[in-house]
Amino acid sequence: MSDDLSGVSRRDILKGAGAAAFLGAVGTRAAQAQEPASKMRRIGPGPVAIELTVNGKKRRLNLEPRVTLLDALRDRIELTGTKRVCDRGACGSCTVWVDGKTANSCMMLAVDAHGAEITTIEGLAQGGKLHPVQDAFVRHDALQCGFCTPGMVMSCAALHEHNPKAGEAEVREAISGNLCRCGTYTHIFNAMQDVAGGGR
Amino acid sequence: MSKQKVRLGFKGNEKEVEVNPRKGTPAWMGVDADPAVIGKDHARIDAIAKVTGAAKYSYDMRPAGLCYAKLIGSPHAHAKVKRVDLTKARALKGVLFAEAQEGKTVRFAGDDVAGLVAETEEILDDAIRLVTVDYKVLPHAVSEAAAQADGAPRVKRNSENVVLPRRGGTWGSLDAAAAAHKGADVVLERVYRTQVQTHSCLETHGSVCEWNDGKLTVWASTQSTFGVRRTIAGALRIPQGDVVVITQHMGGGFGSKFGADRWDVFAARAAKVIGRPVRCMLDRKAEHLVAGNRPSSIQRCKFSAKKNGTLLGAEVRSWGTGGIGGGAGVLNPDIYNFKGAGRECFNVYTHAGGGRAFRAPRHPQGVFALEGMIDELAEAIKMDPLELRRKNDSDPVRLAEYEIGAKKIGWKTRKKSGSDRGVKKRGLGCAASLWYHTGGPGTVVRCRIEKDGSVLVANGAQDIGTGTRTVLAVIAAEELGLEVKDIEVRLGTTTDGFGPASGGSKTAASVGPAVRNAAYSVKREILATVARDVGGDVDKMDLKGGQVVGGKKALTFKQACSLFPDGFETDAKATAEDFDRRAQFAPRISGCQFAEVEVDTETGQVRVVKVVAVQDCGRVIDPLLARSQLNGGVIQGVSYALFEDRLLDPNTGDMVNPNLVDYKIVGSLDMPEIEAVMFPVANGINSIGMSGLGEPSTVATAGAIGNAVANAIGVRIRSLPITPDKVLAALKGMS
Amino acid sequence: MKQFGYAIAADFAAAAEALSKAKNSVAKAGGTDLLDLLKERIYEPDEMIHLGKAKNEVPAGELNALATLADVAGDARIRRDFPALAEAAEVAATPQVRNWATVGGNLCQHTRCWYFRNKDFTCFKRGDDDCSALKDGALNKYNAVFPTKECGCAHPSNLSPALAALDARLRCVHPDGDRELELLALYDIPKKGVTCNIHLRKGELIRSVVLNPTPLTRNSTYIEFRERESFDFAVASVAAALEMDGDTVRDIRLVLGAVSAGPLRAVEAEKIVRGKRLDIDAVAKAALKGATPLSQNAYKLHVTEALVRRALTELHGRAGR
Repeated sequence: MSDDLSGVSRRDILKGAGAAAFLGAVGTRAAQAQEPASKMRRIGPGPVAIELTVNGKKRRLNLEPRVTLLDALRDRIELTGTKRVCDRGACGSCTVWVDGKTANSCMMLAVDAHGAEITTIEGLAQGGKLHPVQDAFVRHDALQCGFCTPGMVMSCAALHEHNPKAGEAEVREAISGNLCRCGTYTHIFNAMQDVAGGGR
Repeated sequence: MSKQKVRLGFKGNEKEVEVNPRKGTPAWMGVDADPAVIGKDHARIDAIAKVTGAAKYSYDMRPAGLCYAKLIGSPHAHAKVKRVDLTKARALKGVLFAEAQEGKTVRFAGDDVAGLVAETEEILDDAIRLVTVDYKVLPHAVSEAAAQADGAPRVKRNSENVVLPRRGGTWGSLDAAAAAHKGADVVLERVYRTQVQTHSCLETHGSVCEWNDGKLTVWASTQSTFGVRRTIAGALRIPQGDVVVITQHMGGGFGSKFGADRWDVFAARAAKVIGRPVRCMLDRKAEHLVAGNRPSSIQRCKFSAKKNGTLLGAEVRSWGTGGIGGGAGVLNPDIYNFKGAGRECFNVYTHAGGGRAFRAPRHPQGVFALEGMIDELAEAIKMDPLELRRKNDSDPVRLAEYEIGAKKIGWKTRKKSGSDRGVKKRGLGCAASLWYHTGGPGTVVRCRIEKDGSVLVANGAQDIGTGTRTVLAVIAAEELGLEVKDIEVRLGTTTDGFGPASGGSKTAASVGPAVRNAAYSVKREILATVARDVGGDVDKMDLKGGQVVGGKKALTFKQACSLFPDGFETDAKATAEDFDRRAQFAPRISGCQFAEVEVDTETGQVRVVKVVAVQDCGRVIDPLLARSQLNGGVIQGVSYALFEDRLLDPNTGDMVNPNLVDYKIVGSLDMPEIEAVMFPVANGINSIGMSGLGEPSTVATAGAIGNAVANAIGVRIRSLPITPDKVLAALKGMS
Repeated sequence: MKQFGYAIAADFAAAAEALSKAKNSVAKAGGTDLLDLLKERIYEPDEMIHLGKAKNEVPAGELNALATLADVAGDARIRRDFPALAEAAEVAATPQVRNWATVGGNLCQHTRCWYFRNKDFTCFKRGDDDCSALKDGALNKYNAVFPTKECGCAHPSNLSPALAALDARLRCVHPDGDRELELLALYDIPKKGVTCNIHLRKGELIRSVVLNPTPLTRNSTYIEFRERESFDFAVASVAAALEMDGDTVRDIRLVLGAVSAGPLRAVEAEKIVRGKRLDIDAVAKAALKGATPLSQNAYKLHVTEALVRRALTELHGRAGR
């Protein structure tokens, strides 16, 4: 038995979020309780069908609501580039982009990401061409054992997409949620300085 | 054997020595060697795999039918496992294997009491909650003091809690040290403390085990593929020949991943029983609790000196705990020339996870105390601390390094301790380090060429992230006159030639000479064949820039290889003769580091502004990667100095911070500027002059930071990590 | 995590209704605190009600409880009118967490006390008789310096002291009737078996934060001290607002974070200077009056005092510009 989340119109249920801080939605508070039951879409606790767009490819998955996005990516889709390290949102090794924003995939349920566009480290290079951040990491040896690298790259590439000229202070801030045990930070700073300066 | 004269040392300090290259091996490189590929920056050859997520770590291996295993750890530091009820767990659908350790006495929190295997991680999680364990909780001792108290519970059945290990427990002579205090102008007695640090490898310990036709494949996260093969075969009582260990990439070891562990053996046994592959990777909590740590130390130091800066006596008595393991010694005071020096290092057993080798075992903790004492003596006799070091250090390499480091940090601007004005005070400090020439014989490397000019270099050892794979390619390219991209390297499978464990900074220095021998042998064969078939004097010919040079006719490397229709290969070994310890220029690897810190005297926060690390690197194979390693050593040293601390609750004996939130590892915003200076020394230890780099660069960092903090605020923190509460306590205690 | 059902709420009223009736349900917005607790099995809910996709239109000028910390930190109007709030949001947690963690979740987050977050230890808030942080020998350097007799937890929220200093009110939804709550009234003293010491009725949800820009809120700041700059929770934090009239303090707010089970407004310290000349040292000293630090955290008093001085010096400087 599996509930199906992907069959329903997402427009009805899944929108209306992401209210930015002061977008100034004028008017009324949401209408008072009409028939709450109809306003609750209940699924699980057994496997439910969800749909994720991962690196541009639609993926239908059947999994329990308790499965994290990280485990869904690694164990169900076998995209193992995203790493499990602290499993508590403290190290950034599992960083992916969800609808363009960096997220710790260990601290997000796969069902939360239903309908979302996910980009993982495997999807960053386009058409066989490395992302400029990946290329700079290679040239500056901004990695050692490489286990933190996918997360570092995803955080740095997100920064680069928003701010291609980011300076060292911004780079430090952008990876302040990514831990490296080998100690590659200095080379990451070098790589990102290079990227901001327009590459080699 | 043919004798060869080679010039060793460094610019400004050279000597000529005679070495004996073994027949069929290349000439040794001295100071004047000018290699074409070695010593240039080369990108890591597996970097693209690592930045695209394509690199497969053991944690990523997913053979068909993979199941998931976990060992359940005790919440008690000391208890007898009376009963383990697995009934409910076994009854859960998807649970495939379960076993308990009834009757076991657990001796630290996290010690395993049962193991489970399930089809999914979610089922495994549920099954674990269904296991009930009855413990008889016993009294525990988790601190050095508690273990030494009257009536303290015994940690080990066959041992006192405090022991002086027969090997490595003593050094020098404490009697001579005590006698040497005579005539001293200053005698200082101080106690220095260092904490327990966990390795916190990002990829946790563990493996994926799969059986096929009675043969076991282990994808292990290890720094010793052959060590895992030996130990897991031993534990399972099967021939080593029936085990293949594979480690293509691994996420950090730092000394904690040398052999098969309990969880690996469990995974292998379970996989055999259920007939499916099993993965057992530790979770983060277990990684902190059971997978090793750097032992603590309490170092009682009594040092003396004359006013003129002559060091006299150094007595060191230390007590440290590696939990149920040992290894709590310290390297103090070996670096300087004392008139008399000695130490005793006691292991204190406690109810805590066992210590393991950790990046320069014994050294950072010893150097923190030693260098603190040297600075305290300098302060007492009113001498510049660097001057005191120079006066009592006879190592020519380090003496040269001091000059470089002092200049780069601006040592001349160093103020009198505690004299900086303002709320945020700056200070400078320095510390010395030493390490050893650890490369050794036994490695077997295969070098194979194909008719089309392809080159493969293969060895069964692993690359733990230091760049071994790249180092092999660079050396082979050098010898064959090719570029790094022309070389394919296969590493990390025990069906290839034997290779060393990556420990003691010995991998590159062990594998490197073997690669060179193999490539040299292949080169000789190619040249001999060209000479025979095309013409030329083989002794005048060489491979350079992708060409056969010096022959009768210009040939490309590829054309030369086409003379071998089936290709050919050579397995070359590095033997004891390839490592000549008598020919060494300096018996040890020397380094020094300088730190600048800023201390906020209102919050107690220490910020490391800059670290200059000057390090004897032997002959550097790939400066880009070498710099990564030096930076890494410094960064781990900063983390050790300021943040990391495994905290055990004294009331329960359990760890309060077994995660990566509360166990604090230095991050990007705390990163100092790092200037890593490679000090090249032609050391004559092997044909290339290669040294290991992994460990030496982390030895001095905490010592330099400790001294810089004391210089900034005028009070000394003799305890690591140097956290705000300690800084404030010291400052308030002073005023 | 234990297996649980998952419900997507279309709006807050529906979620509140469901939560108020449910036996064992939890509400989740960003989930960055909750998932941690689920993984430790501190919560073992039968159902999770996901608010992240709920429709929550709020009146202009109110701060949506579903706004993320990144939204708050990046909002120019907040930075202009309520700088303390923007400053508190931008230094919270990590960039990844700030992208998903919400205002409501930040206010309702659980203490970082490591004895609370690990079921191997006893914890008053989790229903045990005693608090491990208060025992002899306990490791309590990050705990409260204003503990209760029964619990040593400190509240880790960045936003709560900032919003308290900005006189924020919370608009809450509940089937029995919506209400407004003063920010400080949200926090309760720790009680046995109550994991999160907030004064919300069963099922009650924070829908929005009501803020009014005033000269006082426009001259506000938040500063915190962390042991580690890269992702750490504050050892101590201070939010303050200051309105000057020449050399006289027209009004002042001073709220301390991470020192007690909720944000602590230093009312007596404010009184010392309200309507008088600004004596920063006197305020700083008075702010921590009555503190009873634990065995290992007296240093937090020095740190907090320094932060008070720095915050007020900063605001005094800004007021003069």
